[in-house]
Amino acid sequence: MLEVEGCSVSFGGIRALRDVSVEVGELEIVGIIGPNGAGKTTLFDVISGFRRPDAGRVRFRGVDVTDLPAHQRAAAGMARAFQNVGLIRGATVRTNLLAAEHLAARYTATAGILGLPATWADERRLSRRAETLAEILGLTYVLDRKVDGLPYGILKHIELAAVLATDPDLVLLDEPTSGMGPGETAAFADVLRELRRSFQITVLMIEHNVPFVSAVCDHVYCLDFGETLAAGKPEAVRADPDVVEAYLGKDEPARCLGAAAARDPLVVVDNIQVSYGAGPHRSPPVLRDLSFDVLDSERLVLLGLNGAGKTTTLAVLAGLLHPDRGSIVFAGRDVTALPAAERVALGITLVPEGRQVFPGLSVEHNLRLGAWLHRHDDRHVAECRARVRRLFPRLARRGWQRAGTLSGGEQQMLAIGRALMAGPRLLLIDEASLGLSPAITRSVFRMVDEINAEGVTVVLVEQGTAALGHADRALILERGRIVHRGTSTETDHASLRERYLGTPV
Amino acid sequence: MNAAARGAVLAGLVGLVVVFPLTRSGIEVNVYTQAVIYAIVGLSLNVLLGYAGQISLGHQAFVGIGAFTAAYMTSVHEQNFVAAIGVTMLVGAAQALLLGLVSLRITGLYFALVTLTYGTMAESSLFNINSLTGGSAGQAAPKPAAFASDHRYYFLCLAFLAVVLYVDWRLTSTKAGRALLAIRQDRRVAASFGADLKRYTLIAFVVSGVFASVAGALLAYNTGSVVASQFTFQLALVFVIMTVVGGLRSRAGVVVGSVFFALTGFLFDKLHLAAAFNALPLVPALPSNLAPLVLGPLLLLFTLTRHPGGFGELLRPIGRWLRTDDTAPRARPREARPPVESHA
Repeated sequence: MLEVEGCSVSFGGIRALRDVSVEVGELEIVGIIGPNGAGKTTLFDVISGFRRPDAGRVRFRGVDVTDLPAHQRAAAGMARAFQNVGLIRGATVRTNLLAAEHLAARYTATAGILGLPATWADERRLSRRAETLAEILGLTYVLDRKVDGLPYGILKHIELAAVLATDPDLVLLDEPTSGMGPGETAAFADVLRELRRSFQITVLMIEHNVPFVSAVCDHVYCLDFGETLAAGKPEAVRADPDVVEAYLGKDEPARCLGAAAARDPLVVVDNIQVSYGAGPHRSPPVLRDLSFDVLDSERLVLLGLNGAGKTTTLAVLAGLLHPDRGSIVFAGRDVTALPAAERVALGITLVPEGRQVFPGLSVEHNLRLGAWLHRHDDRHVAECRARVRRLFPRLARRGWQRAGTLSGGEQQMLAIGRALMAGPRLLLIDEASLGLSPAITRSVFRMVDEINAEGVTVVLVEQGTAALGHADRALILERGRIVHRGTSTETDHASLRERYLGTPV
Repeated sequence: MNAAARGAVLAGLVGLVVVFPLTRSGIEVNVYTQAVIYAIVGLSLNVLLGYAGQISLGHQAFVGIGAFTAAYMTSVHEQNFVAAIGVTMLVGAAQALLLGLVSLRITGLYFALVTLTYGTMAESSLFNINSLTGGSAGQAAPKPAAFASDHRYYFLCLAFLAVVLYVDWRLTSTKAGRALLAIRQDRRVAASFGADLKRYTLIAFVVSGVFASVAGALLAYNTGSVVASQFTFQLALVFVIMTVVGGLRSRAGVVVGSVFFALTGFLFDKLHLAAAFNALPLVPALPSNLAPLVLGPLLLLFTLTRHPGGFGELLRPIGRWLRTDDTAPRARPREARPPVESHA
């Protein structure tokens, strides 16, 4: 039904997709798995028409649709859900479903605007159709509520209803189970099979929950670094050594650096709960009753899959998010209510996920912006710059180059260097290895070791085990809770593998 | 009791709009007619600003082109009213389509500059082509014979406003309006619903252009002649302010906002506010035609900071109250059902 043939996409010097081919048969449920940054969403963009591939073709029902814009592919029977819920904010659920029925309307736009009698009758039909869909997905009770503020799980269902309202043959779902609890996820597998039967749809989905993918999919593709790593039956794919390595990194024994227990805690996180959104319809808690310490000058790594709450934890530490309850104490001071900018002054600095360097500014200007709080202290700036140059000689050579033209690894170094310009005591690094090759990842982590050796406490967030050899202790997060804590040697490859990919057969 | 109160309010409203002008002089009714026409202009701009999310700082050109086309068709080609309005709508649609095509290429601040230039270009060159617009002397636009009296003409304009309101209402309640809503919120989501951004943006421009040109034609007949100097940038500014202060995407709000700004100068004189202001020490004398430009920014500031919904937001509870029907059984309170876990 869908054939993606040898598609390649690159942007900004990064090959996001390299010669990827995917085939989806009639009424199949096909899964795409792969670590963060593997190119999964880019592949979806290529299939649904939001990004034109540099090479390769996309065929839908035997017709080449590579040159068709997204709305025409929708008309051809492709529907797409989005990673962060593709709905019209500010409108009611009913309006959303009616908007999704755009292609189902039997009148022309002009007839509708002129209010011709036939359009009135068709509007009533569309309205009934929307109500029926809402009923099937159990959404009748929110039909006239505004979308904003509804819980995430319900939004996902509304989006599914909207996708079905477009009367699709092929449905593309981007992480449908994100934000769902284990019970909901299991129920969703049944929902999906039932929808396939009753609506005669084919499903292609990106999903991080590999056990769920294995349970529901007929066929699985695993992407890594924009390439197809493995394809086949779910069981075969998740047992594939390459897939295991992509998720976890190589099974290298972690060098124990441990013995940090004697140090004093620098940060004490006590019983925090965090949810997104405001008002009566907050999201369910993303972090629940989370408590942990970060010891002075240690390296702590937070592990877990997408959606486990790792980035949220860092955001709370950095002050970008404030917990509903619980407290955070930094160096003996309660900082729970302190805004991010003031925490930087205390010595807490975040290296955000995806580097977030200022692409249009030079390396030098990026670094200077990192020293914003010390902008009037020339000596501090000079010292910090000297330190960054010493740690990252490659950056020193590229002082006036625009940051956007740097390679991924150099951008990561710049992001860390920029954070160092603030003179931090606690450095929070979110997925430093994202999209980097193993060799570059290792060299980035060696820099982190050096920074740590100079007395800076480091909290790393990682999905794979790459950072385990560069950490004293590890915490594993799952759905907003800590499910494992121990020294980095106690956190081994096998236990992580079971948590991520399910029990191998 | 509530029903009686509602009846009274509705009767008062009808009285104000329909009966009150009948009791006033022709010259005064001219002002009210202009207020009705401004309401059409407001609704035209609302389609662009509110629905399509596109700025137009050159809406005086939209209106002006309508006014000159109607005057030209009537006095040079001696066409009847229906034919003149028809041609005016076509021309209005065509020029809006042209600008719409530009908007697909240039967005944001740059497009705002394009519209601004478009407006001033029309004002200073297009409207000064002697053969079309009569140059600085202007083009005569006699009212249609059947509506020659000021009072009759007022009701004609009121009828046009009613039609515009109906079309605007159907626009928002059918697929074109929902497509625009989706496009404005998230163009990727809109595309995945099958809504073509280009097509619907152009539709919005055309609808806005037709509304504006009709308003322009009505304005021409109301004043009896059109001159280029009527359509200055200052006018475009008042148009934008009255629409935003009225409340984007609120029909009632936009109408009230537009009428309010159309009448400020008149009310300023009528209530001798200018005299009161001028009596204040240290306040420079203020000509009444500048009243909207003084009041506008103040209200705009107030709208942007305190009441983002404009007049429309303030009118909403009243509208809801007027629509509620007590004779019908009360809506059942929403059941507090938990999210459904299993699905048939």
